[in-house]
Amino acid sequence: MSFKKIGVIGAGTMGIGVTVDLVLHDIEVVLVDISFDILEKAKSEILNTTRFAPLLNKTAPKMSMEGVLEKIHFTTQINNVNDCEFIIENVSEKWDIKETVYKELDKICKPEVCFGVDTSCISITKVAKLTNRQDKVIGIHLMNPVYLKPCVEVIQGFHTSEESVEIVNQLMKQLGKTTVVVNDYPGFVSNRISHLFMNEAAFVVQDQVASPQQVDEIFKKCFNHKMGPLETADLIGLDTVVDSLDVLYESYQDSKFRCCPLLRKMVHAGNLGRKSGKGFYEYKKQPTVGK
Amino acid sequence: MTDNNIKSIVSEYIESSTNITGLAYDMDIFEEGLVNSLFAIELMTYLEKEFSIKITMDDLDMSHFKSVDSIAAFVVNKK
Repeated sequence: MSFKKIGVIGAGTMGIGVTVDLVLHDIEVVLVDISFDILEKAKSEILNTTRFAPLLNKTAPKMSMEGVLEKIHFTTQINNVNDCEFIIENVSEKWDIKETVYKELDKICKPEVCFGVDTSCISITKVAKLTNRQDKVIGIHLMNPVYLKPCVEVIQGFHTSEESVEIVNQLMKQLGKTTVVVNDYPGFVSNRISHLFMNEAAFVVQDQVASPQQVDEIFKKCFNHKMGPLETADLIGLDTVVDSLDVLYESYQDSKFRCCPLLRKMVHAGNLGRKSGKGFYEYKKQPTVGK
Repeated sequence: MTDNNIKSIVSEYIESSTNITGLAYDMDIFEEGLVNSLFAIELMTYLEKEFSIKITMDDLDMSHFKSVDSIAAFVVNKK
């Protein structure tokens, strides 16, 4: 099976990344979010990223702005995903938002369509229970920048069928990615472990043991990681990191997942990382294109 | 604008984006792990705006952007 049209729900950081990757692989996208302001911002970032993608990924096609826009339908109407062959959902890590979205998707989409939950921590089994297609709900933990990542963590919920796993494997193969299929517990493998790193790194800064630069330098130069935990937290978005830690804490009732007060304070102050221009580091604001 | 002016402006931009100081103009900023792939896209957008140039599909070669020296040569060539 070759996928031609996919619904992407949520035009935030991950929704943008997923859309870029799908378009670069010649797949049509219906990109849904709640406001045209968010969609306009997403459009600008998608155009920027697709334009320069061949610089970083030699296999990426050189696409014109018009060519990219032809492939994407930006909409605030979730009903527009009704003829999509697969759904990738990337809304906020808030249960009430997920609940509303999945109940609607279940009514709108054809019964054979699988729902890929692009979540950091929320249980796939719990999301699946919101629908009448529990066997077709599967976790796809994509990571940023999506079009440069060769591997995806795929999560099989309690009722997820082998057929759904195979469908996701085919979609990822079409995107040039391999998968690692794991079982469903909050945070899965990647975030259950990585969020402990990021949270403890924030505690280290809060306790004035080291500066963010020093923390990240140790991870990069001593452990040979490409990025340090605080750079990673800034990239993910500190609000998302806090939300994920809260989900992990609530799910396991284990104090090791308690959120660092400094992280929460930074989120309250609007210092969300790259996307707000300031987190543990400062970032230059990007000009917009395509307007 | 002279070649040296361009180098100074580009160097300042990279230093402020990476929170480092004393960047050598011939240092390969990607090879040295100073910046990551996400920064490459930010850099492209910045260069277009700052120097009023248009980066075309044919320009998308990492060799143009690997160091302050190569970026300055690219900008001079485009202007």
